[in-house]
Amino acid sequence: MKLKLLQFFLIIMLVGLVFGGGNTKPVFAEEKPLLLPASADCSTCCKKVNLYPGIDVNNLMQIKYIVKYTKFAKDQESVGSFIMIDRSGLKRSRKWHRYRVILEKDGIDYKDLIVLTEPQHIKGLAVLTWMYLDPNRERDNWIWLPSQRKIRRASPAEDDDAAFGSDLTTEELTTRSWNSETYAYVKENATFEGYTSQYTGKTYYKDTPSWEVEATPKRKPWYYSKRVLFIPKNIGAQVHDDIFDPNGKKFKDVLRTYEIHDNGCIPMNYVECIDHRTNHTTAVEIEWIRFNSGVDEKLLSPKALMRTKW
Amino acid sequence: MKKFTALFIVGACLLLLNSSNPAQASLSLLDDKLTLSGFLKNMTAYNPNHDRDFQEIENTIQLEAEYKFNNNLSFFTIFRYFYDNAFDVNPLFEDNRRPLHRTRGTDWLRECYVNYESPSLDVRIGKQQVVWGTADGIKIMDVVCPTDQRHYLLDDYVNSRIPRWMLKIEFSPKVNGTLQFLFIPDFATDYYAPPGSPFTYQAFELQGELMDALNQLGKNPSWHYTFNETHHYPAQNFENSSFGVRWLDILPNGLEYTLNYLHGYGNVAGNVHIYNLGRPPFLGAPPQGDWVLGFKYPMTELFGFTFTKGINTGPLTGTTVRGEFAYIHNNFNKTEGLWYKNYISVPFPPFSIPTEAINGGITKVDNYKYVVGVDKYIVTNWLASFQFIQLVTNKTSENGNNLLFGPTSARLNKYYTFLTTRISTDFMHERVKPDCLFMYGTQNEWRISPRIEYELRDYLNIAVGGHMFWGKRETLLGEFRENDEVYCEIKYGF
Repeated sequence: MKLKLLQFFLIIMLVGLVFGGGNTKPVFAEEKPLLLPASADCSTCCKKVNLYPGIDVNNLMQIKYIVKYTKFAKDQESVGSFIMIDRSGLKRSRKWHRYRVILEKDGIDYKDLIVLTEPQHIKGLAVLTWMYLDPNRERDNWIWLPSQRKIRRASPAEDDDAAFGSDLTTEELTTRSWNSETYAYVKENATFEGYTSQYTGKTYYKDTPSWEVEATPKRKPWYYSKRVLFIPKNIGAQVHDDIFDPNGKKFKDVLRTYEIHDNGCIPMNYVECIDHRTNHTTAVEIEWIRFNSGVDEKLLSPKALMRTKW
Repeated sequence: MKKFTALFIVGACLLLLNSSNPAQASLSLLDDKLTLSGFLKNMTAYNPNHDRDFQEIENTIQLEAEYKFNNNLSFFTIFRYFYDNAFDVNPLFEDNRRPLHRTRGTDWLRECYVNYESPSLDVRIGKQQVVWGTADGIKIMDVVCPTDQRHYLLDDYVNSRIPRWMLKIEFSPKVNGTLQFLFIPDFATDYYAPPGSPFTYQAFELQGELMDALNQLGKNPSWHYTFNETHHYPAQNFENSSFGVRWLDILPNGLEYTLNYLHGYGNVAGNVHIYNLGRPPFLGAPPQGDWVLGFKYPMTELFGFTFTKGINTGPLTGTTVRGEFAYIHNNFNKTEGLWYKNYISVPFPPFSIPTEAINGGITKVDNYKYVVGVDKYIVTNWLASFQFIQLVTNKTSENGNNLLFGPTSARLNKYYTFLTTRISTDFMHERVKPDCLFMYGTQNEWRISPRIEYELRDYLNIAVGGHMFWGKRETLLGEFRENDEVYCEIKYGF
């Protein structure tokens, strides 16, 4: 029995090693450059997104992901917090410190490290993610477990799982890519009527000229059937998503706000997600964000997780 | 004691009343250079089956402080103090109140180190925890810091690991490759609960029974029995220091591996010497004499490796395979056996009699330990984790004497095989986190440990759970079959 079990594990391991290797080139759809080079004499400047007139919806959505994953910069460092509010008004929060390095080489798209710094009971919990250029290659995850002071290679969470207990799924927060959906313009010259945040009470992007895009997931069946995005003409990334369940009923609103910097950087500074099925809200507040500050790639390795003091 | 308990409860209540903020953030002072945080915790465990009494009523306060001199250099320390009321309320543990009911000696200084970090070089010097390996529920490579096993291996490892004074240097010559060097002048080994404690290993219970019997016999003035316990601790010098090396790297296909070497202390082993040996005073009694239970600490060589691989493509996508292997050379192991020494002549048959006896031997063995594990999210947020664990000793007898299994003193088997499964998930936006560990040993021994955590507030968490054991007394898990417990844990963080 012992030998049989051992054989079983060896087979599993070998299969993993065989299937786990390799890398394929991603499919690129753009014909025009999506990013314009940053000024050579400006080390903190970002590449500018190229929102050219008559842009194809696929190129627009590629730009949207460039903005989402801050690929206009070499790296980013940010501090922020999740605030989760349930239907009774009870608030819970998670404060985090995040690092990301955009690589786009050796098969690796980017590396991302998020360390939870508050509250005390999960202080030190850290998740390191390596995303690959090959859209068919699953990401690699490591997690630092403060209760054991131990690093674990984590099995990647399912894409439809809630990220850190928020209303955003793992896919919405980190794993959705341009290849995950198909796109069509609803209106190329729409006007976004604005969205009033339940958390801050402010109305954002009222009467903003936008592209209105319908995105349909390739994966079927999936937890949503489509989403409708409003992408302002001066940003290139959506400020609002209407998300519809498999029966076509809207169940989620997602708001994203941005700052547009003269140096080409477009940081996202606030995200709010409301799940109408549970009346649960998540607000993501970004306290500060820095680009091109020289985050070292060595910081985004398992060794860096082991530095954690908690 | 009562004062401490009252203070704990009053303090906890006052803090809980101040609950207007969602998060009780840690305190930052001196332009954010100094950060203070910590927690208050109560852990109450009750034995519902056998003793029907408390096994643990532990109140803990922990304070953590970090001072950042600059982005590279910092000082970090943790102070911790606990008081366990179970030793006051449960008469079964009365004899062990003194050594176990509260933090002893300098253990209140849990961690204390200076830390230097840079992309290629990290240095940490001071009292700290170093962790190798990735196994759940059992320690294969996680042996750099010994373990406080007063509650077997039931406590969170971060709490049961015994931090050591050491120098840790990590050098990264490449992006993912890191060489770790450890120099550990501090001597420390696993701590085992003395006889009559909630989780005393069977081997120590047997020693306790022997000790009690000798002390009883020694009360008779016409008989000669004394009992002493000695520990042959190594001298604190350079030669007796431990050191370790680890190379960590990630191959382009995502296979992460470590190669490990540790020159350090292995399993403690003890045997009994009887000096001034005399005849038993009556049939069935132990021989008279000065009994000395001596413990020795071997210096061992550990060679090992670990690996983890996330399967990124193909039908097994999302599966993580991991494993660790350790070969421990020159470890100590107890044996059966009785030897007589130092014969003297006597003028009657048999004309020579021994004056010294040795009950039980200590021999050197090589251990092989390994674990192979598979993790996979089976449905959305249901994580299943499966492990195959095997512990192997290179021999089971020495000169015709059987070797003994350390925790129970039963005859040693060449192979010990365990299977574990852990299922965990979460509900209500990760407010409720159920988790259950199943552990099965092929000697038909079981452990099941369910736990549910509930996040009442950011700063206030409650957990309830239990540990249940089945099996024969001479097995690793079965020896605790009368120690089933249910527990409740309340933790207030700040």
